[in-house]
Parts: sequence; structure tokens; C-alpha cells
Amino acid sequence: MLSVRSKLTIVFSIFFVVLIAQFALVYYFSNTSAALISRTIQAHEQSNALTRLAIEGQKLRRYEKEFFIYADNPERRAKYSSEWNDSYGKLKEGLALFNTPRSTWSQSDKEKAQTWNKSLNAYASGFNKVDVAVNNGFINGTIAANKAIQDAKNQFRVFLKGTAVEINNKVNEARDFSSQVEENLANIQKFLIALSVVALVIGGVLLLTIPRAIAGPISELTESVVDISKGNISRPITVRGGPEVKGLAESVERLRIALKGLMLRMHKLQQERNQGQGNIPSNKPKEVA
Amino acid sequence: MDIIGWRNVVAGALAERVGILSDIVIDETLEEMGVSEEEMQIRMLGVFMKHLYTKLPEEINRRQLLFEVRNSLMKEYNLLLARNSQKG
Repeated sequence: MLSVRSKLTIVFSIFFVVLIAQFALVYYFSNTSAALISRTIQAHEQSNALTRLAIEGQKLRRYEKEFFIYADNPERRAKYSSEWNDSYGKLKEGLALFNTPRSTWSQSDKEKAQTWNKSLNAYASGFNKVDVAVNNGFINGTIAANKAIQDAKNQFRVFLKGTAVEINNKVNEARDFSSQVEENLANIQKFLIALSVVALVIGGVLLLTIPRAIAGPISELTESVVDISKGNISRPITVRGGPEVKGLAESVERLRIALKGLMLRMHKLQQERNQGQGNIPSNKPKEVA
Repeated sequence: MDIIGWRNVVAGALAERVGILSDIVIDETLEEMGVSEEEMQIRMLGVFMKHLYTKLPEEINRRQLLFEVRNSLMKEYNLLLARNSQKG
């Protein structure tokens, strides 16, 4: 039989273990989720940056088309040439951000950006040549200008297609990270429910058994001691429970035996005295008989 | 052979079961044997045990208790007691 101290130690140890497990799980999953959330945000930011680049690339194409539509109109042509150059400048700035010290882009992203940069440069070079040729009257009309820039335009498709694909990749990446965060949260929920159920079951069982196991033997012993104090010393004390209560019960039983022995001797002495003095009735205790 | 301090050894062993009754039981046994505490010798311990048996409460395991008393005495005064008490 376990001592009261051991029982309580076991109970508190179980709860301590459950608490530690809960803490460890929440800590692990919240840390993992925090990392995933920051990666989700990063993927979203990168997809936004790529979207801005793609929009600027499309603008470049539109200005180029407008430029060729108004190939015969020097004013409008100059306006679209200027717009084209603005967008080109923005694209160059955007691509330069891939290589800044605080850049969050991966090596693979940086390599892709280099390819897009080459594609943009090739397109810009082609457009500038056509622009000069149109301005100098070497190329006349929209169809001729369009034909002249065809190669450069084809090279710019690398940029346009590449950014479109990469936007999708980043969006999918962000979606995957979000799914993992959701999965983590679901796992936390599952583990917490499971641990709570375990704690409730253990707590319930202990609630039903421990108080009874501690208080039961003590109240039995109290009853026996009350009996002895009232003079009923013939009933042996049955010992049940942990070592603490058992030790106490053994001591009380020893006292009961000693008390009973003393009373028997007192009674014997009384009888002997009575016999010596005559027939005086004895007051023998009922319990001793 | 005198056995100094035998009473403490016996009373200690008896007290484990009968508590404060142990000294009274020893006194009664000595009185029945007609010897004093100081006169007790190893050879007389066997007889002492027999008388002691009758003085102990019936509700305890008297044989077991006497066995424990005997063991305590043997431990205190070595194995000489076993041989001499058997003779007594």
C-alpha cells in the first residue's frame, strides 16, 4: 500500500507531466506557426513585388504599341516614348531590389531576376533602336515599326512569362504555408483536447479514489479510538491504509492491549482484595470480560 | 553467567507489542519465579520465557513475540544464550 505522501506525489507528478506536455506542444506548434506565418507574409510580399513588375512590363508593352500606332505623329510618339522610358526605369529599379542587402529573395529568385533583366535589356535595346530609326525617318508606319521590334519583343516574353509563372508560384507557396499554419492550429486543438480529456479522466479517477483512500482509514481509526475512549477495549483495531495510518493504528492497538492488560490486573487485584476483606461486590468493566 | 541489562532488552522487545505492559509483565514473571532482576542468569532465561508466555495477553501472537524476545537477547548476548537457554 502506498503512503499518502507517495499517492499525492504521484497525483501531482501526473498533473505536472500533463502541464509540461501541454506547454511543450503549444510552444512547439506556436513557434512553427510563427515561422510559417512570417514565410507566408514574405511569399505574399514577393508575389506583390512580382505583380508590380509584371504590371510595369505590360505597361511597357502598351506604351510600345501606342508608340507604333502613333508612329506618324511625332508629339504622341514622343509622349509614349517618354512613358515607356518611365516604366522601363521602374522595372530596372524593381529588378535591382532583388540584390539589396536586406533582400528576402532566394538565390534561385535572384538568378531568375538576372534572366529577366537580360530580357528587359534586350527589349530596351531593340525598342531604342526602333525609336531612333522612327525618329530619324528610317522606319515609317506602324507595320514596319512593329516588324522591326519583333525580335526584341520576343526576347521580352521571357520577362513577361517568367514573372507570371513566378507570381503563381509565390501565391501557391503562400497558400501552402497558410495550410500548414491551419494544420498546426488543428493539431494544437487536437492535442489540447486529448490532453484535457486525459487530465479530466485521471483527475476524476483520483478525485474518487484519493480522498477515500486517505480519509477512509483515518475515519476508521478515529472510530476505534473513540470506542476505546468510551471503554470498549476488547475490539482489536484492524489496520488498513498507507504506512502513516498503519503506524498510527499499530501504536493505538499497542495502547489498547496494554490498557486491557492493566485493567485485567486491576480487576484481579480488586478481586484478591475483596476476597481478603469479605464478599464485597466487584466492579469489573464489561469490556474486559 | 550474569546478563547485565537483560531487562531493557526484553522490555524493549515486548514493548513493540504490549507497550507499557512490558515492565509489569516482566515484574510479574520474576515474582512468579521468585528471583530478582539482578539474580537473573543466562541458564534461567528458558524458564523465564515459559513463565512470561503465561503472563502475556492471549489476543496477541505470544509465540511470535517470545521468538522476537529470544532473537533480541541472542543478538545482544551472542549465540551463547541459545545453547544455555535450551538447557534452562
